[in-house]
Amino acid sequence: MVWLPLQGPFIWLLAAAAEKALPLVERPPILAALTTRGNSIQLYSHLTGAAQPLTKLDCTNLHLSVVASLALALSVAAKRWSARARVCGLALLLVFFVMLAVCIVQLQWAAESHASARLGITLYTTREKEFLDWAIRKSSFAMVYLAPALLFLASYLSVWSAAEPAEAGRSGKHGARKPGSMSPSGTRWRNVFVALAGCAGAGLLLLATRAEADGSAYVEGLKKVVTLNPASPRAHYRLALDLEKEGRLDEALDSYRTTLRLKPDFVEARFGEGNIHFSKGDYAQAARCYGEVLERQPGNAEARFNLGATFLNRGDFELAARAYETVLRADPDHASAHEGLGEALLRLNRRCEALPHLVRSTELDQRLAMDTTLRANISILRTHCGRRE
Amino acid sequence: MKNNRRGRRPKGHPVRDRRSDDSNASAGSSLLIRVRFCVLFFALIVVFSSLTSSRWAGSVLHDRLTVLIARLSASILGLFGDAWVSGHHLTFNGFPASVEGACDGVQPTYVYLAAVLAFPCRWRDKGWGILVGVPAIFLINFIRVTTMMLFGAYWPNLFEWTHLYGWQALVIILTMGVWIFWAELFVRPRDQATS
Repeated sequence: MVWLPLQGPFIWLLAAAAEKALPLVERPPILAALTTRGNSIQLYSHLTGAAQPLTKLDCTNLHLSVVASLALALSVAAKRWSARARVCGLALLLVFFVMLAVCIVQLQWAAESHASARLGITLYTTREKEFLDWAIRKSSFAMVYLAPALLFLASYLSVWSAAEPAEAGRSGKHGARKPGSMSPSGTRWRNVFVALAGCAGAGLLLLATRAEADGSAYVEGLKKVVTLNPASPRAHYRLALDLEKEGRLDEALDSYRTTLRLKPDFVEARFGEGNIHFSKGDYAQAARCYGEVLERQPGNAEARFNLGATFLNRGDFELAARAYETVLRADPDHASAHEGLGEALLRLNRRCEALPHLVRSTELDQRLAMDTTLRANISILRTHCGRRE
Repeated sequence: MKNNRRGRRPKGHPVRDRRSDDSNASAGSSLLIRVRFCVLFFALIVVFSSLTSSRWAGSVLHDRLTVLIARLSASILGLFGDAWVSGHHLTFNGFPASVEGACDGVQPTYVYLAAVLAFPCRWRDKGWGILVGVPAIFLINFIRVTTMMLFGAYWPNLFEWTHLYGWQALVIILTMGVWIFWAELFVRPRDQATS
């Protein structure tokens, strides 16, 4: 009952520590972030993008092991409350680190299971999977049997062995001590042990914080996944996305091309290839890619919008205006399409037609409303078109 | 001869501390006993774990034990309904389950054995601990498997909970209960008698 309200914070703390410790364990990293919801931990990986969780791990079984460990450790009759509190603190510390180990291997296993079942790709090498399988069995054993047993036995032995000196002390010159209490020397050793354990925990967290992975590390993780799954278009595509995000455009283009070689109808990869060409200023190739996307998905607003931007940059203002108009027919509140159309019309010298689109874009998007060049253009156009503020 | 053996105190036993008047030395010795116990306990766990996870243990120990538990459970479950067994596969009133290697009770047994063998007491007491404790843990595991089959057949919604959560915690608590039974009934009276 006491543990029930503590379940949520415990899982949150466990997930936070696991997130810090994962870069130490996973090299290169594949799991990017963890969040908690109730008793479950959600795993995020660059394999499914930043916003969508890869899978989730139910941690309900951890709580019973915590409760069993604490109950067994506290069941030994230490008479002093300070001794009980110390046992409780040590038990929690030990249990937390055991749970952390269990949590990390279970998270990796859950990611591997989900990726192989749902995405058709493997995340770890055969040796790593064998190790994970072994680690899961051993860490589960440590969680279910070893930690509770060790805590109980250590507590029991502590009281057992302390009772004898206490009895001896009653007849001696030092006087009686309560069972469970210790001499100054024993207390000093115990304090040293607690301090060392605390330092080890703090050190691990500090080390984990310093070992936090950056974007390029995740690219290396995805490269490993690609090496393990050379025939998987999804793996190549995810690598391409991360390479593009990291600004490594040539490598990203290669990965998109590999994806399309493996799966020619992979529309998202074609769209990504178009984006790379656009970023590199190769507008002809970009227009070709967006065109191919629109052949397969005529209603793809993003591709249509990007095609408009490509035409605009290439100087085909008429085509750009048509592309933006198509986007706006499907989504009349597309702020950037209004802005693009306004700019295309301006270049076509249709200034007064451009004005309402430019105004509408600032109304729809605060970021555009703050654009001083755009505001200046609107002001000039209003004067030109005979409308004063 | 018998008296000599009874009077001999085990190596590292807390009773030895009485020889010293210095309480600091006693407490230090007490800590040493605990450290020695923990180290020995861990070492035994590693040894037992390695032995029981070998291929040889798989075919000789786990496979035979799971078949034995399945057969015994089927014979008890037959009193309550229609029980059928094939190897380590068990069916009770239409509810199928298989007794796997992790369900044969070997893990709690070697935790118990490591605790008994690492505890600072006489070998005769340890022998009693093994003789009494191992069958008791086998019985606990047998009751676990049988009750889980009953849960599966009559309250299938509770099967997963009892399997993954309830019995897992209960097994180690009961194992420690067996250990404390041994320590308090076999070791402590002899310890008090010798001291």
